[in-house]
Amino acid sequence: MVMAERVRRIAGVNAADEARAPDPEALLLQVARGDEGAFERLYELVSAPVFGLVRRIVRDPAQSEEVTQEVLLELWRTAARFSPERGSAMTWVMTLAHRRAVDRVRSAQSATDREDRAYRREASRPFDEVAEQVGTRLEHEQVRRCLSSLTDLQRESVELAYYRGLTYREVAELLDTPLGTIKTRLRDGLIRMRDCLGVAR
Amino acid sequence: MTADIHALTGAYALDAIPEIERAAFERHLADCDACAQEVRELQATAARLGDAAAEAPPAELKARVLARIAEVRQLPPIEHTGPAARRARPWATRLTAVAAAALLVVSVSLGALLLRSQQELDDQKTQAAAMTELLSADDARFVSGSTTSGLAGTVVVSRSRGQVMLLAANMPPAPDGKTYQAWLMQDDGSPRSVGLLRPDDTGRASIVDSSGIGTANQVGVSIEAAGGSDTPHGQVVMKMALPD
Repeated sequence: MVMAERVRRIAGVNAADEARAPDPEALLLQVARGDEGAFERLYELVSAPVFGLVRRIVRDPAQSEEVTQEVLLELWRTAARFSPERGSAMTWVMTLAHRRAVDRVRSAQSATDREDRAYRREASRPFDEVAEQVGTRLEHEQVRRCLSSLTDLQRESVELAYYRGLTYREVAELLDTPLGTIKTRLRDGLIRMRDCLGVAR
Repeated sequence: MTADIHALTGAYALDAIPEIERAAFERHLADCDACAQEVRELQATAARLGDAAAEAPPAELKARVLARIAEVRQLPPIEHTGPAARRARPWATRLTAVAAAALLVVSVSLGALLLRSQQELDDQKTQAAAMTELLSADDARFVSGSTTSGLAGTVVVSRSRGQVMLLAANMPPAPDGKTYQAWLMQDDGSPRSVGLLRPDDTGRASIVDSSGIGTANQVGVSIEAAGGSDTPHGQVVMKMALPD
């Protein structure tokens, strides 16, 4: 996007009703220009979703805070790299948060894997326990409703991959299901979620 | 787009792809607009799942983060790249076997260029030019193999240009007073010398010959007395059928 266009967009937002909820795209554009006040407003908007997701994956509270801080600083650092054509600001933020949380658990995991394979197998929770936690803690009724519209295998696969940060290979292992089936279930499950949530095409 | 790789859009949007597969899938994405579109939609869907797990962080985190940004430099924007620039990228992912061989040639040639005298340097340049010509031939064909001792060989042939190239790797230095010699074997069994092969420090050697393939159906390498022989006498270290 050329700078003139950016500036026009920002001016347009500033001229809008102050009382309107700040939209993360506009805030990111301001943050990209070094506006610390805009960053504080962005923090208010995204810190709970980021922390909640990271905590779901990482679980350890202190580590979850560290990862959340990393993600937020990364937003500050790379705000100018956000491009609205490729998706919404919220998607960008949550994609980054998920990635960082997954990186954290996978690097910790690979460090302990060698001496600890047997333990890890035992530590893997049965999927219905995970599903229950996700189910009871979901705040958004619509997401819960849409999740319940998936087949059991689709829902279990999506939840284990997304909320536990497992690879599809690990999901296949845990659910004792062929790799190809899990790949397909993850895709089909997300497509059904997309349609149910009305995510823009 | 194969059905199999397309099925990875879901796993990718959920970060559920192991690192190695991730890199391969991202190269695929750069070249598959339909996949990229689907990934964007599925990432937006996954973000809703994340949002649904929202939980307020401890209050003191805010002050910490706000204090830290004063110490973090912001990246400048990436200059806008148009569709033309974006389309140009995937070429690297479409390396053909022949182009891969070309890369090997370049590395062999560069290695050689660093080490040799002016005379040999000129020979290398001539050879590099012949290699380029061969690799750009429409009918360039390629075959690779390795021996049980670990010696690896690749042969590229263009029958229309009468050119053949032999690349070898993991080649130990020839015994004292000996040399490696490459041969084209005609279908009547008679050999024609292609030339001497001199492995460099890294065990790589290459040779290109432009004097015609004839009826040759095999290429071989033998160990001969220094300076080479008219016909192969010594131990044959490698033998490969020429591609059609």
